[in-house]
Parts: sequence; structure tokens; C-alpha cells
Amino acid sequence: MSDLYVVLVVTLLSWIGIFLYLLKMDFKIRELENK
Amino acid sequence: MAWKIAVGLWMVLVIIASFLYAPPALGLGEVSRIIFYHVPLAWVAVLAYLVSMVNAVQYLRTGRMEYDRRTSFNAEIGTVFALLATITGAVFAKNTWGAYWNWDPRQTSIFVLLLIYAAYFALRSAVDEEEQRARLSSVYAIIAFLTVPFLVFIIPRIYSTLHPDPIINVEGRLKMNTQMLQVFLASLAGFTGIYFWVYNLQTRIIKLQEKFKRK
Repeated sequence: MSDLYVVLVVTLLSWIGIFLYLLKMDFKIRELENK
Repeated sequence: MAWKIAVGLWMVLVIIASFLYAPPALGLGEVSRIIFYHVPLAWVAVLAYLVSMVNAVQYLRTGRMEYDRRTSFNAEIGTVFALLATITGAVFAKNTWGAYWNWDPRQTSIFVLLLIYAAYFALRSAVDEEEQRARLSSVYAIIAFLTVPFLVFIIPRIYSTLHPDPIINVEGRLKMNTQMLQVFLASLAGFTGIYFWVYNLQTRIIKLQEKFKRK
């Protein structure tokens, strides 16, 4: 059972990382568009 | 912006549900949870390749370079997702068949598909002249997509394979219990949302590039 939680946490952290990266890129593009 | 945050939160819920809500498939154990990632990744790859082909047709019809760029980045997205589907498939194979790679018809067909799109990128990098590159690679992108239904849907069904039954199989029946199906459909929706987000970012980058070029 604990292995399942480890994989869950790793998957969640990976997604949060990807999500924040996409969000950061989105904001940067918006900044350039508004310039 | 709100829908992008919604995609982020949706995927958090999907990930939690895939581990804690959906039960593992009978006989396959916990590793079967990979289906909630593997199949949506493959679906997005096919979707991106389809959009790539549509943009290639649009380029050949109109000659507008933005369609060529869309063709190219959709092929890139498709290849990244196809690679991830291959990797998740290999993890599943290791746990159920004992080896990461054993040239099963499914593995062979996705390998051939990756090679076909690798050749697309090689072709693009081999031609310097912009319009010639766009024309040649658009024709190639259309031909490349014609192989997708054969390699993804037809060939793996012709030969006997170790791969589990497709979700929608020859009997046309869904072989999943309700909880698994709910998470599976939610994951499909979430991954499709991620694809549209990446598509949106790339399209805006292309527009910015065009704007800077004009300046």
C-alpha cells in the first residue's frame, strides 16, 4: 500500500511541476503579447 | 486563463482518483492503473497527428506559412506523447510480460510510427529553403498520417498480441467497471485539455514570431 502512495506523490509532483511550467510560459507569452 | 487552472486542478483530481478511487484491474494488479495514463497519452498523440495532417492540407491549399508551423509543432506534440505512451507501455510490459521490450505487434507498430515521424523532422531539417521545406514536409505529413490508423488500430488487431484487449474491442464492449471507466474518461478529458493548452501556447508563440518578423 505504501508503494502506491509513493507513486501517487511522485506522479502528483511531476504534474504540478509541468503545470507550473506551462503556467509560467503562459504568463511570459501574455507579457510579450501586451508589449 | 480560468480553463487552464481548471485543467490543472482536474488533473490533480484524476491522479488522486486513479490511485485511490479506481480499483486495479482483475488479474493485472496495481500496475493496471497505468491505463489511466497510457491510453490518454496515445489518444493525444493520434489527435495531434490528425491536427498536424489537417494543417498540412491547409498549407497546401493556402500557402500560408503559419499552417506549416502548426503542422510541425503538432507533429512534435504527437511524437512527445507517442514516446510517453511507449514508455508507459514498456513499464506495463516489464511488470506483466517480464521485459520492457519484446517486439510485440503493438510495440513494433508504435516503433514504426515513431520512425515515420522522426523522418518527418529529418526531412524538415534537411531543406533550407522555407517554402520548399513547407511544401515537401506538408505532403510528407499527410502521407505519414495515413499510416496512423493502420499502425495504431488495424495492424495490432490482425496479429496475435500480448497486449490487453483494447478498451473498445472487436465485440464493441467496454470492459471496465464503473469506477475505472469514470477515471478513465476523466483522464481522457484532462489529457485532451493539456493538449489544447499546449496548442494554444504554440499558436500564440507563432503569432508573436510573425509579429517580430514584420518589425
